[in-house]
Amino acid sequence: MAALRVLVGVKRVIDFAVKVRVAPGGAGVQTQGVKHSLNPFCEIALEEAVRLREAGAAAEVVAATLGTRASQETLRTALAMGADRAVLAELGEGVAAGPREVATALAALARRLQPHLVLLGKQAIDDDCNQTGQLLAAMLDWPQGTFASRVELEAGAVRVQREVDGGLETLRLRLPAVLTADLRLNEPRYATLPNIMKAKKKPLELLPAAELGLPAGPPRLRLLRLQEPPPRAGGEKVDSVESLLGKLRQAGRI
Amino acid sequence: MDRRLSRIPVHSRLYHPEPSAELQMNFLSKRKCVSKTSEPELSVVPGLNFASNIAADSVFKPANQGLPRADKRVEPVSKKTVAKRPLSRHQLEAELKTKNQLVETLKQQLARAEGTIKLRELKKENERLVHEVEKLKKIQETCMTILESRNINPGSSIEEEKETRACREKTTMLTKKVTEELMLFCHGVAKEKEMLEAAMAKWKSAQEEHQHALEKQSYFQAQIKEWKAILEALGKLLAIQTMTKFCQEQLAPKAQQIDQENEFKGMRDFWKKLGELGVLGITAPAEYGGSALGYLDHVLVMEEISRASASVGLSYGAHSNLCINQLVRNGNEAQKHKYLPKLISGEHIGALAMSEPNAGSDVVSMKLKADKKGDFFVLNGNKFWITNGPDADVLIVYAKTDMNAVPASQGITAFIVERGMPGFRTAQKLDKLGMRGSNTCELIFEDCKVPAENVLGTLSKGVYVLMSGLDLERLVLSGGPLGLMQAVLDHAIPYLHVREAFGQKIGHFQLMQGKMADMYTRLMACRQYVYNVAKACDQGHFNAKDCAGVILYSAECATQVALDGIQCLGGNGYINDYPMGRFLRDAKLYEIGAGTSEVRRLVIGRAFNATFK
Repeated sequence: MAALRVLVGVKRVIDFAVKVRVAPGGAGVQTQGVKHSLNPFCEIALEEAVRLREAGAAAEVVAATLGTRASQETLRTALAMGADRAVLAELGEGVAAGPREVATALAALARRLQPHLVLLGKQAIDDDCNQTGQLLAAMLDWPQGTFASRVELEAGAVRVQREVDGGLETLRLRLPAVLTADLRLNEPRYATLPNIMKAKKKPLELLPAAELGLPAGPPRLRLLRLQEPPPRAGGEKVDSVESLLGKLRQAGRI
Repeated sequence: MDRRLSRIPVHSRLYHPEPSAELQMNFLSKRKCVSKTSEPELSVVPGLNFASNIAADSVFKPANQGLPRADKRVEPVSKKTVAKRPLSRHQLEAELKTKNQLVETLKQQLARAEGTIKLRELKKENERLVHEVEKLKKIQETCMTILESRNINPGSSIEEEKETRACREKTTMLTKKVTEELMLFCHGVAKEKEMLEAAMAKWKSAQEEHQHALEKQSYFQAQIKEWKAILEALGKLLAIQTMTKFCQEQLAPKAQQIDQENEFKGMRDFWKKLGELGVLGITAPAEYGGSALGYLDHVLVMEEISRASASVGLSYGAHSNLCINQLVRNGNEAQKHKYLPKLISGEHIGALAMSEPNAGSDVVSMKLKADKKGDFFVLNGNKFWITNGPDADVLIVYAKTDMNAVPASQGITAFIVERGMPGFRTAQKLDKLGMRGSNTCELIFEDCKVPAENVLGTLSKGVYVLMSGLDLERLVLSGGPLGLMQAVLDHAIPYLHVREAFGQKIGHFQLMQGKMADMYTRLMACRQYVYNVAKACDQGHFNAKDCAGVILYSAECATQVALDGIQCLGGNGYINDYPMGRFLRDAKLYEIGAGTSEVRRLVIGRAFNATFK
C-alpha cells in the first residue's frame, strides 16, 4: 500500500518501577521529580507501527501525544524507536485531560493527518481506563479492533486477532480503523544509540491543544479524594469448614 | 557645446534654447536696418555721432542679472557682432559722407546752373530738408535723452530701439525662463534633497532594522544553542534510559550466575546485541559503523553496564576503549577498514596487552621482543593480566623493538595481533577475586609472526600510543566504579527500609542514616568529577592529572561504598546470595587495574613537579 499513514498515540506516564505516592493534600499522585517514561502498551503499539513500515505495508509513522511540554521527552523516545515524525498537542500545566479529551484531540488530528490506521495502547498504566481507543473510534465513526494480539494489513483492510475473555477472536476491518495493542502483540525494541542520534533531527511539531477542539470549560470529571489502600491486616487460620462459615457470618460477609 | 552647459541639469538644458542664435538674428536684422538708415538725408546731419562701441554686457546685463557667473546662459556677444555695429556706423558715416559729397556736387551743379527758381526750389528743398533734419535731430536728441535716461545705447535708431526692446523683451522672457528653470532646478534640488533625506531616513530605519535583526538573530542563536543543549541532554538521557532498560532486563538477572561460574556463557550473543545498540563503537566514526559520540556518552554507558554486572562492564571497557578507541586514534586507513567494522558490530572481541608477569606498573620495562625479519616482526615473550584475552579476536600488543633504547620507553612499538596468527596462543584463564566473568589470561608469543603492516602508529613510538591511551582508559573506566556505587545503593537502601530491628526499620537509625548519607555523597561527588572531566575531554581539553585523578578517587570511593554496603546488610551482606560481596570484590579491581592507585598518585604528583621545574 503506497501512502499508508499510521498514527500512533502515546502517553507519558510514571515509570512502572517507581513506588507511587499520594501527593500532599490527597489531590492526586506525586509527579514532581518522579521518573516518567513511555506507557508500555503505547510502546507495543509503536513497535507494531514501525514493523509495518519496515515490512513495507506502511509508508509513514506519526507519533502523537496530548500533554505538557515535558511530553517532548516521550516523543523523542518514540522517534528514537522509529517514528518518522511527532506531534505534541500542548496542554497548559495543571489542565486535566482524561480519555475523552485525548480522544477528541486524536480525532481532530486524525481528521487533519488522514491516517489509514490509528494504533493505541489498550490502556495507560497510571489510570488503567481502557477507553481512549474505543472513544476515538466512535468519534471518527471508524471500525475498532481492541486488545489486538496480531495485526495483518491487507488491501484496504486489516485483519486483527483479539484477546477476549472467551479466547482469540479474528476480525477483518475496513480501513481506516482504530486498533489498541495488548501485551502479546510484540516485544518492543530498544532505542539504539544511532537511532537516538537520528531522532534529534526528526521533526517534532507543537500544536496548542485549543486548535484541536478541546473544550475550554471545566473538566467533566473531578477527582474528589485519593488515598492509599489500608495496610494489609493479618489473616487467621481456621481448622474446619464450620468454623470458617461461622467466622464469615460473624464478619457479616454472608 | 560650451563646457559650462554640461554643469546645467539636463532638464533645463532641454528647455533652454540656444541664446546666441536668437540674438544673432537680432543683429542680422540690425544690419538690415543699418542699410535702411543709410539714407542720403541723414548724411547731412552733422554730428550724427554714434556712440562708441557698446559693451556687450550692457545689452545682456538685464538678462544676466542675478545669475551666478557660471550660469550666465546668455552669452555675451561675440567680438564679431560687436565689431559689426560700429562697422554699420562707419558704413553709415561713409555712406553719409558720400551722399554729402553728392549733395555738394549737386549744389555746385545747381549753383552753376543759373536758375533762381531752381536755386530757390533747391533752397526751399534744402530748407525743408534742413527742417526735416532738424526735426530728425530733435527727435534724435529726444531719443538720445530718452535713451540716455534709460541708460541704454544712445544713438540707436528707433527701429534699433524697437529691436532692443524686442531684444529686451526676449531677454526678459529668457530671464523669466531662466528664473523659471532656476526655480525648477531649485525645486529639483529640493526634491533631490528630499529624496536624499528620505533615503537617509530609509537608511537609518534600515540600519535600525538591521540592528533589530541582529538582535533577533543573536536571540535566536541563543535559543538554538539552548535547544541544541536540551536535545544533547535528551539524547544522553535517552541513551541512559535505553542502556538501563537493556542492562536491567538482559544482564542483571545473569550477573550472579556469571560471577559464580567465572564465565559469561552468552558473551558472543550479548556482544552482538551491544553492537546493534551502537555502544561498542561509541567513539568510532560513523564510516566504520560507529556512533561518533563523545567520552561522556562512553562513561554513561560504562556506568549503566557496570551497574548490572561490573565484570561485563570491564570487558566492555577493554573492548570499546582499549581496543577500538586505540585503533581509531592511531590506526591507518587500511587497519581501520580491516579491523573496526567487525569489532564495532560485536562479531569480534577486542583486547589490549601491555602488562607482563614482571612488568605491571613498570610497564616500560617490558620484555616481549619484536624482531624485524623481512616483512614480518617476530614476537617472543609473554603478556599477563590481559582482559578478554581468552576470547579476543583482535589484540593490540606492545612489544620492544629496540631492547637497547635509551630511554627504554623509546624502544616500544604497538602491534595488531589476530587470534590464530602462528606462534600466538593464550594460556590458562586466571582465577580472580572479583571481576569473575571478565575472562583474563596470559598470552604466549613463541616466534609469533606479525606482518609489518600491523604496526600501530610509528615504529618505536609505541610509548606515546600507550601513554595517551592510558589517560582515556582511566577516564572511561571511571564509569565502572560509578556503576558499582549505584548498584550498592540500589540494593542497600531498599533493604534498610525493609529489614526491621528493635521494632523499626533499620534505615531509621541514625548510624544507618549516616551510612546512607556517606554512600550517597561519595557517589554524587565522584559522578560530578568524572562527568565534568569527560565533558572537558569532549571539548578537547585533555589533562593527564584529571584523568588519573578521576579513577584514583572514584575507585577508592567505590571500595569504601561497597564496604559500607556490606555493613548495611549486616550478616546478609556476608552471604553470597546477596550481591554485596560481589560489589566489593569487583570494586577492588579498580584500585589496581589501569594503573595502581600508587601510580596514579605518582602521575599527579609528577605533573605538579613539572610545573615547578
